[in-house]
Amino acid sequence: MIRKSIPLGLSVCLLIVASAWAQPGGERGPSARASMERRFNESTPAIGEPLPDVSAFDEEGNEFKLSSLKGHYSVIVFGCLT
Amino acid sequence: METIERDYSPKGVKFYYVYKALAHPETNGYITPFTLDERLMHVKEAKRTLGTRFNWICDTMSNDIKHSLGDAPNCEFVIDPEGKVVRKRVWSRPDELRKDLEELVGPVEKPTTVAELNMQTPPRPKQAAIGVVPRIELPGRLQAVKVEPIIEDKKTPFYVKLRAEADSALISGGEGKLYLGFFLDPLYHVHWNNQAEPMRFELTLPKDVTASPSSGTGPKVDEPADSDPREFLIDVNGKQSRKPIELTVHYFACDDAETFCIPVTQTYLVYLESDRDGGSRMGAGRGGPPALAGGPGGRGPAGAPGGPREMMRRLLSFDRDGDGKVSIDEAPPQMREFMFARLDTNEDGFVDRAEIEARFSRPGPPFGPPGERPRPDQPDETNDSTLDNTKPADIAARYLKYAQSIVAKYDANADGALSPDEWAKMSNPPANADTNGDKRITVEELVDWYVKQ
Repeated sequence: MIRKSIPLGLSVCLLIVASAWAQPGGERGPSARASMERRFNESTPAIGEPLPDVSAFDEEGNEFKLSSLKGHYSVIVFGCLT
Repeated sequence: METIERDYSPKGVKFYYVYKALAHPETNGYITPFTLDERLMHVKEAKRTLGTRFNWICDTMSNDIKHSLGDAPNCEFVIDPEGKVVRKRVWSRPDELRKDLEELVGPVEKPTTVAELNMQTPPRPKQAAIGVVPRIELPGRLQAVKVEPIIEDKKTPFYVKLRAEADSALISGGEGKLYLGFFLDPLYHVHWNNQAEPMRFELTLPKDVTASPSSGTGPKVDEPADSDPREFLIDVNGKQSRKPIELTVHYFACDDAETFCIPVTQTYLVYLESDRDGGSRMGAGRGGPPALAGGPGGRGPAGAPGGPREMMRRLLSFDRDGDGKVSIDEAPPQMREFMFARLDTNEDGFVDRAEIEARFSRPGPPFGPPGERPRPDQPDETNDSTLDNTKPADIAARYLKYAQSIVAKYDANADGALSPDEWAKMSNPPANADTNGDKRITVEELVDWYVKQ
């Protein structure tokens, strides 16, 4: 069911991460998760702050500025093929 | 996530996925791209396979967005019309995101259901056999190290891509193990042509660096073509040097459509320092490399190498004639020997998707080599304990069934045997099975041939 409720590639990411955390004796665990969350919160803009002025590309390879995300609500989700 | 997009796009919300450096290269066959064009090809591939309506933002080759927004693999942000962050989450949570948008934009009268999306996963392109070349044993957990491809000819892509990893002893102390994996890039639909010279590489070492071996050649493979990586493990001592190792690789790039097969020589610089964006290959270093099944890599996460979905994909990839099932002549030797009888639960001589999914959807190890049986307190629901891969009579009985199915499949003139033009259509033509040389392969001859293999 998860395959249909979450896009395949992202569900793969989630399953992989969930599994890594579940590894007994593995490197990850609750503390690793808390550490990642803390690092994420510290290294990303705080609530109410603008996105950093960073450029990347749109699907056609044209320049795309994060700062251009204005005028409407936007949702940004980091994903991957793997 | 797609249902949220369907519900909130009409309300003016814009949805973006960010394509960034791969978190787990090799999963589902995808490997780290070397150029922006290849990243954009990955974006198109992601849109195709996910069937998503999201827009995509492709991160730069230096991973600027990833680095500036937390370095987390699956985080999410909601940005308000002024460009300010109003929600952020280290791991994407569609249920929480929907609540966010209900608060920020307003509720939806009738939320879209997943069933209404009717999303289809497109079939993967056919590829050459995998699981043919054994994966190497890794000494433990390795880290990706920086690899710089030297792009001299933009017209010739890196059909084969190097992934280099090192153990912590090498990265921190300058002496240890270096893993070199040469992976076919699925973007280019190429395969190893095993009828040509195997790939080979050589290292040019900086002064004060030693490596053993300093060159290598891929294995000779009986299968005419395959897609497995070529892997090598090198002992390196470079305590006194921070200079990169130069690696030159030679291979034949042969496309699956058989329109070209060209010799390629390409060069890399390999730096013995950790690559923070290199990701990690799932299964590698946890008791061994990813395995086809029952191997030391064990059963990994669902989509990871060694995981159920990856194994299902691998098994189904042997279906070369595209009829939706794997016949015994399409199966590689190790699948034929250890798995085929256990997968073929309806005993029709073919392994189809339903049989593979049934085997992998149950708990516990899907297979094991001979002698590796479920414990008495773990009964095997498929009741294949009656199969014994070691008794000659059982082997012959099993192959009799398979040989009958193969002859029935390819016997176009229905004379009960295979003629040369009929067996030529098989994935692995068993010409040597015609032991009496009468240009006919009978069921009995085919059984003998399978058993001897």
